[in-house]
Amino acid sequence: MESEKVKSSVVEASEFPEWSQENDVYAVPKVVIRQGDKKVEFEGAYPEKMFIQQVMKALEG
Amino acid sequence: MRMPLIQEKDREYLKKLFADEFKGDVQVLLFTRQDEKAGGDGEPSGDCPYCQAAVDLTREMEGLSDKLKVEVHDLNKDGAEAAKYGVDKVPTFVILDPKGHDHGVRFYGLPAGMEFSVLIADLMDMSKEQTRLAEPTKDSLKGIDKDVNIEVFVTPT
Repeated sequence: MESEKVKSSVVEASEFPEWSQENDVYAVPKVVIRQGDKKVEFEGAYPEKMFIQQVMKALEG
Repeated sequence: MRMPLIQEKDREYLKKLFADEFKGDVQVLLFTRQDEKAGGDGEPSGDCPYCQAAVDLTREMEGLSDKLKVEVHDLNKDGAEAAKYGVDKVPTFVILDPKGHDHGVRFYGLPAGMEFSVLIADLMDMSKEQTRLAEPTKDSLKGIDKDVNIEVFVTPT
């Protein structure tokens, strides 16, 4: 909502096993951030500051 | 007559919460796929086991606030609408702001357990057209000039 460039989804992993498998979801919450071909992923509920750092990491380079 | 998914005490709580927190209308587009063979009325469909529960839940929520507008679409029958919002899975919740603008907020699957409160929080933010993020986070987000897609995989707890 704070950026027109950012879209976000919550996925119930158990209902979408293929989608989860494609994203190597072995533990939840699992976060996958995509920017073009770049992908940053992490497991666990990160605090907001660390979360946004991961988003910015996907935008580097 | 099926049992309601939202219990009486939660219904009262949510009614008050929505009355206090909702500012503008918030629209929920729920995409499902109804199995022709299924009997309906809460019967799980083999094609989309959680679709009927998602419809029931959404309809129950709609009754809790005049500001909550719900549209249920069938992925097979409303292909144009599904394409407009890029929806190709069911059940999918698309949440629109009071202007009917799509900010790319999606919920895939039935929001059960703790995830229900995530959906509720999304609705409140969208109705107010503001998030509860910290200012530095908002600043970082405003600077983004490339398309970013964030997927958070969860399980009902």
